[in-house]
Amino acid sequence: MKLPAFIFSNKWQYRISRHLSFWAARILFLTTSIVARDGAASFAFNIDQASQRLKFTVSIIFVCEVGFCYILTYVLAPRFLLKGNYLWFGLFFFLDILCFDTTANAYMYWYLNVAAWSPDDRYLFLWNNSIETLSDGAISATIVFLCLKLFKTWYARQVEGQILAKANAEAEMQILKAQVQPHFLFNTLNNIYSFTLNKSPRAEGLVSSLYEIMRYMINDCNVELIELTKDLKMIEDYIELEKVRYGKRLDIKIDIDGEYQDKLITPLLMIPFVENSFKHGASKMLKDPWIKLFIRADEGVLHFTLNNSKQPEKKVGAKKEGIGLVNVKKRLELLYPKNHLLLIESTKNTFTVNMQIPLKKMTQEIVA
Amino acid sequence: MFLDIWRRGFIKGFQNSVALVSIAVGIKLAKYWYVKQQDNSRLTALKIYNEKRVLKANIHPDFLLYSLDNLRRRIAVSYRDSAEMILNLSEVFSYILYDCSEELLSLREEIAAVENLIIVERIIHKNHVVIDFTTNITGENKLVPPLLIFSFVQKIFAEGEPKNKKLNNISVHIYTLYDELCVTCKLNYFNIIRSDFIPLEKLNENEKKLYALFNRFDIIRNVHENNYVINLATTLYEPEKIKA
Repeated sequence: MKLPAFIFSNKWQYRISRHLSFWAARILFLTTSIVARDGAASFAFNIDQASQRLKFTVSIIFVCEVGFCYILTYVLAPRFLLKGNYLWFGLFFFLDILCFDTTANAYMYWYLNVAAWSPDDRYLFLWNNSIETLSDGAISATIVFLCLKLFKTWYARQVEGQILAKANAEAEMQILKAQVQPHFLFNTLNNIYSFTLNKSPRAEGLVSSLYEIMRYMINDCNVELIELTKDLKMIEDYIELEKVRYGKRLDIKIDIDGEYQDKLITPLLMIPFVENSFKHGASKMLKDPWIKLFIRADEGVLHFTLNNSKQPEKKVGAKKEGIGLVNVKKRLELLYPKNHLLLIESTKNTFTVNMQIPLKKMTQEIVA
Repeated sequence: MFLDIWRRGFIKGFQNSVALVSIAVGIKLAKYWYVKQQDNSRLTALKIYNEKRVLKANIHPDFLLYSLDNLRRRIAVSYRDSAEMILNLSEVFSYILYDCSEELLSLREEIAAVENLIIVERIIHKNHVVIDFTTNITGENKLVPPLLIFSFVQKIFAEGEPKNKKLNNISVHIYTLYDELCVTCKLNYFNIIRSDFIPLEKLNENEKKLYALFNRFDIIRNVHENNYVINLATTLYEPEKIKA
């Protein structure tokens, strides 16, 4: 029996073993206490007396503690406490105590033949026992039981949370890929339409580039890591398509260098920034828009710097970031926790992105 | 005597400490558990929301690639056809990207998107497959889940003609019957045999979820007539009832 399965499995054999182990530990704990207490009381340890007390205690456990504990943990806590019905929980909790305390005391009353005792002793017995049975026995055992139960549930929730977070990140990635930037698609189609009307051979090249970009985004990027060269080619294709729209009006400088041939990268991390530079920069400017893109790969790190001009904002203040940028930030935090750099700076006339992310070296294994 | 009292006290103290520590740990764990529970509820809601978005978003990448690939082929043959194709594709993309964010859309808008799609498909299958498209609609303002019929018709065209099977003609008939929108699609091949493929037989998980919205969905194979007939129906919603 493996420990994680013993603790977390919901199969009935594991559950029974777990519960039996708990009550065995409880009996062991009480046995130790009784032996130590009786030993302390008489200095000369009397085994008959101790075994008598032990038998009595074990029977009390099964008469009182087990019932109290299971009713509280499996009925009262989930039905009332965890649903916020505190009043009902309090009421049933009190009834639970009353019921099992009375049962335990009645059992002890019979077992020790208290009826034969003097009235004063009887009164003292009932008063002392009703308090002690609860404080020493049922309640403390139930609290320990509840703690273990809560720990198990909390741990399971923790694992469930991690799985959910991962599923959400994957869904976000799928959406990101599916969310073709409408403005880009319509602008490009518009350009292609003009070229087809003029019967220009450029139309064919533009459709091919658009198709390649979309195929890369939709089909090729279904992997954790992709060759950096492919991601860079897609960025170049994208820029080529955008350049058609702006013609000579746009001043664009692209500088890609370094050792990027045999490197792997998480797909589609750079493109949202490039899209952004056109969407919120060049397209909004009537005069002299410019974009400067520097990408350098060295020593296993990709340095990405993008500067673009932008229209001065009329209102000064924090501007809400687009979905694309928020998505990239989230993905970076999930993919490279505390292992990446992302600095975004927006001044009156310029927008700058500085990003550094680790690259993986392509190995035969990964390629295969 | 002193030792006895001390040992009894020690044991009692130990028991009380265990109880006290247990209470403290119990409270702390209950707090963690509650926070985690809240967190997970939020994440579960987000997951459902994201799955819904993925379901919607997944419809158009396939169509986008399919249509761009065909546009690429067509542009080498005819600029005129390509220009018409681009115009209709833009209409379709605009419908998919901008209009389909609602849970329900008017039947008129969905049928218009299907009509645009048919024009695109006629260009793609020009000189090769005859496409017959007819409608008999009453109550154009009634509502349907967006892209439901569109994605079905698109899938028929995208998958209706595998490499080894030549299509002769396709007819798509959309009509309303009481509070249902029905589609009958007939795919006529030059030749089909019993062991042949069945169109739309293999659906992915997203498509299964989407097709679960159909009240009826059946595929009939007529080997003697060399065709498949696909019938489907979905509920039409009254705008007044939805508003209420």
